[in-house]
Amino acid sequence: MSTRVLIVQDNPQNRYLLEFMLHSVGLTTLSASNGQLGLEVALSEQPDLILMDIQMPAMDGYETTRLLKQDPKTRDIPVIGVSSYAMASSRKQALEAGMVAYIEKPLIPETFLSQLEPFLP
Amino acid sequence: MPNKPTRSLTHLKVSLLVVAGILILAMMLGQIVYQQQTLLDNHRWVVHTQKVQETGIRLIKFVLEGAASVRGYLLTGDTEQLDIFYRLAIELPPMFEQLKQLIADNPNQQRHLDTLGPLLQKRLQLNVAMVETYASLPAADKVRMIKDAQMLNRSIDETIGLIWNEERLVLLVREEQMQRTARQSLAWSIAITSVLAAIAAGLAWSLYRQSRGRQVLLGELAMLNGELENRNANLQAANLAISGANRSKTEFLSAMSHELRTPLNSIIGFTGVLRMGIAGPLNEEQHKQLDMVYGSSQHLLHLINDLLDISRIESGRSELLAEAFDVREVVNETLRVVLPLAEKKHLRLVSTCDTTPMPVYSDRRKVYQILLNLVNNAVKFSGQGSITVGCEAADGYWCLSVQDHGIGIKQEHLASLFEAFHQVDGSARRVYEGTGLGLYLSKKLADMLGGDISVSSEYGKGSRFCFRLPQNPIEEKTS
Repeated sequence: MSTRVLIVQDNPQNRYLLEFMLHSVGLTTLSASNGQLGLEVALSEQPDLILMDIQMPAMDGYETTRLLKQDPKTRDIPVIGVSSYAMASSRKQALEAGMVAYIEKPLIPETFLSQLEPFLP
Repeated sequence: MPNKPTRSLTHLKVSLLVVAGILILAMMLGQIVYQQQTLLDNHRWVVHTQKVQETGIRLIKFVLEGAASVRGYLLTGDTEQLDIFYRLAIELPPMFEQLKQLIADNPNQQRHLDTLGPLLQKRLQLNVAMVETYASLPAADKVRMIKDAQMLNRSIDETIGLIWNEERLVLLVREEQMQRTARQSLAWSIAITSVLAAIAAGLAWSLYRQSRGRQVLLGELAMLNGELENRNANLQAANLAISGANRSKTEFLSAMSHELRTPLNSIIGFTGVLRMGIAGPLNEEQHKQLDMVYGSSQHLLHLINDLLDISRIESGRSELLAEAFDVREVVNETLRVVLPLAEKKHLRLVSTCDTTPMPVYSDRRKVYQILLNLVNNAVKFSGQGSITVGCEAADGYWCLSVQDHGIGIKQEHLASLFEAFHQVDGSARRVYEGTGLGLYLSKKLADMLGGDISVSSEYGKGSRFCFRLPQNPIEEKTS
């Protein structure tokens, strides 16, 4: 069974871009368009890695990550924040919520995949 | 508020008025005592006069009674009739003595007494002579003796009358004196009362004016206070509005930046993916056009980033994250990043910073941002030659200099170089790509770090920018 990455991202173009890049290196992707769906998919599918957008309607990435970290069934899945929030405090907040890394958008295709590598099984 | 000199002047005035009032009151009291004394005196004199007159009347009456007593004896031969004759002989001298004591101090009365004394003496002797010798005298002598006695009686009566009148006269003089004193007293009282009233009025007026002045001042103060409060409230409202506007501006820009980055993210991402050939091979023209899309989207990204940075600094929301580092590391990092672009333009990048350590405690990211901007500009505006980054210590600062041999800047453009959206001339903007915010932002960042940026340039020969960074630690705060 190949490595599966859950993409929690509300913007369809960016979701597709991430899916395309991950597919190009042979990764399987799962997608959720908001935090609530992300929680459900993470719980039922048990992905190997989660790419989490920060700004999303209803439940933002910080809150979704906190809930993932509270549930023993999803606690061990690494979460990487992907967001266009460029403030230093955003990175701090992301790490406090339980994310293992924080990647600022716009993503740089040439380097993006290498940023994920340390967290893949 | 009344100031000090005015206050002490008022105090002096009031003190003077009070002292004057006390003095005048004392004078008035003296006057009253004196008047009382005069009245008492006068009363004594009235009593005295009455006594003198009474004594005079008693005396004359006694003398006449004595004479009647002698006459009664001579007519009847009854010795009982001589009772008053004897009493008169014994009591008249002390009665005279009494009168004498009463009026001895008056020279006029003294003269009357000098007359009255012998007359009384003679009358007593005549009484004795009449009692003893009258019966044996011839008729002619009897008539003469009777006439003598009558004359003596009249003389005594007249003299006592004179004394009486003198006393009355003295009393009149005294009464007149008393009236004059009373009139003077009245005049004095009126004068003193007037002065006291004037002083009281003065005091009252002074106090009134003082209190009114104070009230006016207090009123003015209250009005000023009210005005100040109003202004304060207005200012606070304005401040609130401004900070609100500033906050919403920053929030707007922050949200805007995020919203702009989201589509830009997919543009840059897909462009990158396409250029990498992941989605399939591209022909030369397609590659060339995608490069242009890529360049434009990068430009747009820089604009958005710069705008966000500026709005953060201007709204005071930019964070300073200080850490210890060596400036040379940042210089090297900058050169590494810019090197590809410089090589593309066949420009040499030279650093003279490798000799001594340059420790600082500052915001590394901001130092990098400034230096990157300066070096990028140097590359952008240079057509040939080298770009030299130098490091010097001067006056507690590290001076990071960036020297190029590019187009240079005309003297008249140097002053406005650090303004927003200022590239030295319109034609330059088309040739040299940039956001127009770079130097403006760099200067603001340098200010935040406690440093500054200066420039010297020779048109056509190149420019030298100097970024001064304090060697002492900056305070960690949100500027």
